[in-house]
Amino acid sequence: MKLRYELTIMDMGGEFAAVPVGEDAAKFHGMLKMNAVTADILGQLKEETTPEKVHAYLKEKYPESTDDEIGHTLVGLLNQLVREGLLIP
Amino acid sequence: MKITNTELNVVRFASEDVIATSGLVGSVWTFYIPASQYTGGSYSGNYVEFNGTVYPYGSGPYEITDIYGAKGGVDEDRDFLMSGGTYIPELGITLPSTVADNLAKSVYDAYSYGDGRYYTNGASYYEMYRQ
Repeated sequence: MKLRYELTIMDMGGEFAAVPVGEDAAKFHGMLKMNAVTADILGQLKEETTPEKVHAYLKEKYPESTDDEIGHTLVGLLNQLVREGLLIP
Repeated sequence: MKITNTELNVVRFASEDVIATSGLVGSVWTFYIPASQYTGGSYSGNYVEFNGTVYPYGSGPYEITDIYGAKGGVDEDRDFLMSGGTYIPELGITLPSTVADNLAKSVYDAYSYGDGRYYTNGASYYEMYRQ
């Protein structure tokens, strides 16, 4: 899976925003507003990857979270990204 | 440190004009809607795939009916209405209202791009192939 568009993610002082760049700016007319966790996960989706790899990354970053907490958080975001047309599964 | 809930707000700017809609209604399309699940400690990719015909529906924009060739637990006897969630029990997932409602716009937008392929701006992700 991979983000459909090339995005630049910016830290706006605690909140994050992402905009398409290059040719993708003509394909996606919009922007994303998100929190730090979402920005972190989106950063992992810029290159081709798998849910398992992203899960492992989050597990290392959030060691106090259970696998279920990470899994349900991640799959919720992945499905939202797919529904919004932003993720190639 | 524990993971917190994700927050994502997708802001879309004004969409492009639709070029043409003739032939949309009454045409048969293949719909492919992917989704992910996390159960029992592992991820799985699930999907809903079916063929259907687009028709106008009541006060809403469209419905997808005459469904056949369904995979992923889709009930071929059930029409996909353009509002309300649709639960797929075999997969344990629900196509939410935003998915069903936006499908009409996807159908509208997808056809305007001429090759009968998938969604474009301002709508959820579906792959659609014209029969």
